[in-house]
Amino acid sequence: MASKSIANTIRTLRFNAGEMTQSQLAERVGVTRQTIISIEKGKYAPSLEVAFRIAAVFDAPIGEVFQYDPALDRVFQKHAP
Amino acid sequence: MSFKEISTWIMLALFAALGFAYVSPMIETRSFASAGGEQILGFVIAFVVLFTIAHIVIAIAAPKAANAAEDERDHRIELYGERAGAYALGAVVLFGLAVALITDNRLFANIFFLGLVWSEIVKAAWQLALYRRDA
Repeated sequence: MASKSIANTIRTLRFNAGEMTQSQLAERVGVTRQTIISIEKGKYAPSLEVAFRIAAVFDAPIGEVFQYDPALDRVFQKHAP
Repeated sequence: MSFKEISTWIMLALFAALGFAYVSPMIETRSFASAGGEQILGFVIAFVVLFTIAHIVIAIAAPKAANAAEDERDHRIELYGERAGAYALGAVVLFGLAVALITDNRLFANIFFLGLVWSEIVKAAWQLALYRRDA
């Protein structure tokens, strides 16, 4: 379920949002705290919907919350010209 | 730990404990036919009662977690678990089919075989329905 090619800045964004707790973020997004922990650690890649919800909570563009590195994506590299 | 994860731990512990209690007499008597309907019914009733009690206890201990809805990660984990369980069940059915064929028990051989065919029909039909729905 992990994706090495997707990183995130949720921990920093939480800190900048008045040290929002993982529980508070989980409640706003509609997932469990364990899911937020897994996403933060990069162990779980959320659905696009949840990713957008997290970005909406921080009022940030999704690219600021999640960063994609094609160099670490094996599928992308496999199909690269 | 989420409520769903605690619930899964309880399920694992109960199945392991009750499974051991169910199998122990068979091992002692060296007979796989020593347990019958009464024991199976006892297993099921004991599981339902203990599982319910355990859930009431953890719901009282952690009401917030108990009231939290399952999310997409829970569903995905559940799906992966279901798939592993389906492989295990399939292996047992194949073993049962082999035993039934060896002992020439055609009734059970056909139940096992047609059960496998039926499960594949359901799987393929469900997948096709999802493909068409999302097309």
